[in-house]
Amino acid sequence: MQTNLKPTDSLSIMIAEDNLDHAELIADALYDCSPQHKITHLIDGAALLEKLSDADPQDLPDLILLDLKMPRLNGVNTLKKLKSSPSLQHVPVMILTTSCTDYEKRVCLALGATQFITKPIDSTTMASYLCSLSLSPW
Amino acid sequence: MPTFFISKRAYFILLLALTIGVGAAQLALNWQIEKNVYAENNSLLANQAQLRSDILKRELSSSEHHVRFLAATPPIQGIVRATKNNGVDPYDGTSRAQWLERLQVIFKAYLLANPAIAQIRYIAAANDGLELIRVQREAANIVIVPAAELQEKGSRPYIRETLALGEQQVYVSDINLNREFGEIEQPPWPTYRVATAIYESERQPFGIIIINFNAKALLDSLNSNLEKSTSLILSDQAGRYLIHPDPKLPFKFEYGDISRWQPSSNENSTPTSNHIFIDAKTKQHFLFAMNKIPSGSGTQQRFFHLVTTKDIADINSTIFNRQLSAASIAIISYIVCFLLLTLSWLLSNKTLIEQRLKGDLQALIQGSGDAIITTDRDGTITDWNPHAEKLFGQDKTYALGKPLLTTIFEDSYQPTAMQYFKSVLTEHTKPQFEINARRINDNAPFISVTLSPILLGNDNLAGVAAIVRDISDQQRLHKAMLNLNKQLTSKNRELEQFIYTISHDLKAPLVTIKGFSLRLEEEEKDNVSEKSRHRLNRIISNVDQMNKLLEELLRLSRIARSDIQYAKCDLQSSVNKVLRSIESDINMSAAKIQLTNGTCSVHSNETLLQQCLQNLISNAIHYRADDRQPIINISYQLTQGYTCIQVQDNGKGIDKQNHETIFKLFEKLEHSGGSGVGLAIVKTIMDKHQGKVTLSSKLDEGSVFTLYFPEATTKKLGSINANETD
Repeated sequence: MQTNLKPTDSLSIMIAEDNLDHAELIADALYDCSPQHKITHLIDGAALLEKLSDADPQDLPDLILLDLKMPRLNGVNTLKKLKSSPSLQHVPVMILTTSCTDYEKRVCLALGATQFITKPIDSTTMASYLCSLSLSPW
Repeated sequence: MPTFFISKRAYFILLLALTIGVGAAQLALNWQIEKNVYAENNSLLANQAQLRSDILKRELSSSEHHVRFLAATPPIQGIVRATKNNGVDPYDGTSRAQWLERLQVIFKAYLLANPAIAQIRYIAAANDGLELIRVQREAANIVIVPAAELQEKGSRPYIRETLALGEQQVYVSDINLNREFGEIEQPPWPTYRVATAIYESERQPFGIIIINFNAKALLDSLNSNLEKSTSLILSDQAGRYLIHPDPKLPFKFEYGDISRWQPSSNENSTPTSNHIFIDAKTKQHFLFAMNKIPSGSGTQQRFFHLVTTKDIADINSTIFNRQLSAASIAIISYIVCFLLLTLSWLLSNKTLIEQRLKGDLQALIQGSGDAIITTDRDGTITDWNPHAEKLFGQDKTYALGKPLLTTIFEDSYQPTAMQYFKSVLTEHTKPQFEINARRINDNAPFISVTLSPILLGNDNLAGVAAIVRDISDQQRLHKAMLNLNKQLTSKNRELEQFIYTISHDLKAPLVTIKGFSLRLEEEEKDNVSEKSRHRLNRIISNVDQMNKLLEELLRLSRIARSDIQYAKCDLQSSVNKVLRSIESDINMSAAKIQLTNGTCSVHSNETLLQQCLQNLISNAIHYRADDRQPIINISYQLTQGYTCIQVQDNGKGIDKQNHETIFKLFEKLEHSGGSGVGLAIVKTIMDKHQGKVTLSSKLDEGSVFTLYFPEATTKKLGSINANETD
């Protein structure tokens, strides 16, 4: 059974983004969609995986926003690890990018990314992405 | 060319066979020589023995003849008749005294005529063997012994023995030394007696005629003229020595000596078998031949042993000498055969090698993917391999005998080719040149030609070999590659120009953004919310960040596009300049920076060298480990045409998987203030110097960056003219 999200829902969202300004702008857009969202910012993919590995099953996020170009562990490799983990593979992942090639796009979709978001993003677009997101309940 | 070959194996087998053959032949020959020498010596000894025996027999026979002659003279029977008839011969009335007188005359004459006869006697059997007549030699005189001095000899064995003989039979005594009254006469001389009985009637002996012979001449004649190294032994039937090579032995028995000749066989020796005796005293071995010579007749027959001997040592010496000669001949023959065999083997080896070489060469030439053509000194083609047929479209029969140059080269290249050909002839050079071949079917292949002198020995030029390769395809590829390279260079320049241009052009709108943002901040700072002010600050900050990035990019682009000037840069002074420019960072981090093995001269562009060093040192400080004082060691090393400068730190280190990534543009491993351009600039600078930069590092231990600057050479370094405007 799947449900469509409403903009007013309270979601737990994790953002992996090395650029603090970018992270702030996305957080602002999400906040505009719904102030109830619980947003966690992580500095890169490695920090994200570290955070998730410590988390209890009920603390897993509803959505992960993943920047592609990050030091330490980049977006594609983070995505690979997420999708290869039995407990994490169901969490929807959206890719954040300033510009990316078709090849990168194909790789990410093949790996199981849900959506591509081109930065910068305004709150309206962000809301529509959130609405189109289908979540499986757990 | 001989068609037979002696293989190494065959050679050694033949050699072995030769050695065995010669050895066996030599052994057989030695045996034969020994046999022959013995046979010769046996024959020689037998001949000698026969010769001496004949002399002895003749002499004995002559002695017997003497006694028979005397026995047959008329006074003998006259005396018998007169004695029986009271002193007067009834036959003619001659008195006994007259007969005696006549016989004395005969005896005396006989002694005169025969020097070997020492004494002749007529002895009567009656009156205890009274001598009727005795005529004897005393010194030089012949004496008829007076009747009063005649003796009775009846006790003497020769009387008895002679009287025991039949009519016409002759007694011959042993040979011994003459005795007078039982004593050996001095000087001793050998003698023997020959006697025959005188019968007055059948079965009734009257007396004997006995002649004493001096045997010295006989023995001397027997013992003379012996063959070299042969000796004579004469013994009587008791084995007593009459003649012996040892001068002490003959007649020694007269003085009580008991050494005797004791032959193993009493028979005459045969020449076919070897008879050897060993001298008891000297232990010498002798080969001998023996003849047994009878003397006398009837029951009183005796015999002598006549033995010719030869020292075995002499025979062996002859054998050895002959064997030595035979061996010399065998050895010489062996050496000659060995040399012939070895020579033919070597020749056959040489032939084999030559044929093999020829075969190899033919295979190489026939199978070669290059055209191989040989000419004589005049340039006339003497060989033309299958690939030449293919390359020039002419078969061998056509090409042979034609001049090389006009056959294979395009007319317009003839003079050039001729020059090369002449240089081969005169200087024995091996020129290689690329040229157009003669056109065949609208196709003139581009060929690479190598001319090479064919030398006999060191200097003797027999001709010229041309090795021709069709390089049309390579030529086309080469041209295409050059073209592509040119295009690539042009594209690269375009790209660099593009980067430069956009970096430069992007700065203009950035300046505008920043300008307006600053204006906005200044004018509206009191009217905007805290949040908006924050956002405005972020805009200005990001503009600065982008400006910095563009600056770095421009710098990179400038380095890539610049034509750098090289100089000998002192490492120490470059490091010092860098340290001054980042002094505050160093002080803040308390980093210890040192040159560990002094300074050196680096062939480089000083500014770029400093740039590299600064980037590496800054990185080392920036990525220092939190728990220890940063120590940065700078050292140099000269290896394989490079001056290597190492910058070693004890910082955080870099994971192996990132060793390549970090040199890429805008690659950062950490969330740091860096732009991600520093190491890209280092790499570009090193590329520019036609050197390289390498990294060796371990996490948590530190990193070593090594800059490889090529040492100064005369080669022209690739460069692109600077074309920058600002």
